[in-house]
Amino acid sequence: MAPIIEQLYVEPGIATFEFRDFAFLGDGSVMAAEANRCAADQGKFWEYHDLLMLNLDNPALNGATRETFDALAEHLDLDMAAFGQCMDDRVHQADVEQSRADASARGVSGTPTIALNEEIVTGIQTYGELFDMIEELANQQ
Amino acid sequence: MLRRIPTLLALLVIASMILAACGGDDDDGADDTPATATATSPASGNAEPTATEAETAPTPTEPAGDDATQPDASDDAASTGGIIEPPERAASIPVNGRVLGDPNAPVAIIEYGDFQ
Repeated sequence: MAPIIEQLYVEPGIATFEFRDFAFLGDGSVMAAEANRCAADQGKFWEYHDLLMLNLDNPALNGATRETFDALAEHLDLDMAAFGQCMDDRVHQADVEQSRADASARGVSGTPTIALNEEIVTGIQTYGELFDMIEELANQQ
Repeated sequence: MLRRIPTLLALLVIASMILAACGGDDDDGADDTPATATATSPASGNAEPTATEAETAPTPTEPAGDDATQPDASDDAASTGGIIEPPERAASIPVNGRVLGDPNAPVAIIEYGDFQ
């Protein structure tokens, strides 16, 4: 969904787009969120995010494992010593848990969940309905 | 008058040969008929051109598409170690940590997501 939103609303300056991890599908998703934050420490949040989104189901890799996270980090030419240390020490474990708790407290129970101007969007069935809501908000400003 | 009979016969023979030749043309005309029908029926009916386009258009494009994508995929796999590359993000989009876009934009879209 993100590429469409980026093209239609972010690039023209109508909206910002933020990704918040809600790692609720087990250890693999928690480790993926931690890896993304470790990459963010080196200024590669979105690059790593995009690779994760495309490659965790990639049969050429090994799923949500440390091997995959390292391969993606290496692919982005991250400092592998720093990345490995960040992962080994689980520097962002608490951040990921806090992010999940915050989202749960706001009513998030599954993914993807969208919020517009901090209001969780519920009850939409199509992208068209979401786009209508975005445009309505944009026109109110 | 009798002297003219061979001449008339000759003329008849020539005429029959011409007719036979025309008959041959008719045969050719019969060959042309389906071509004409084929040529005209697509113009007259919408279904046939569509079917023709549907049959012919994908044929050249599909192999081309396969040819175009398969080497790319293998090239990508070879060059990236099997890692799937995302499309490049527009350079004009401001990046502020985990937020993309102009901070003054009127709408803030937040996605809560799980990578798995």
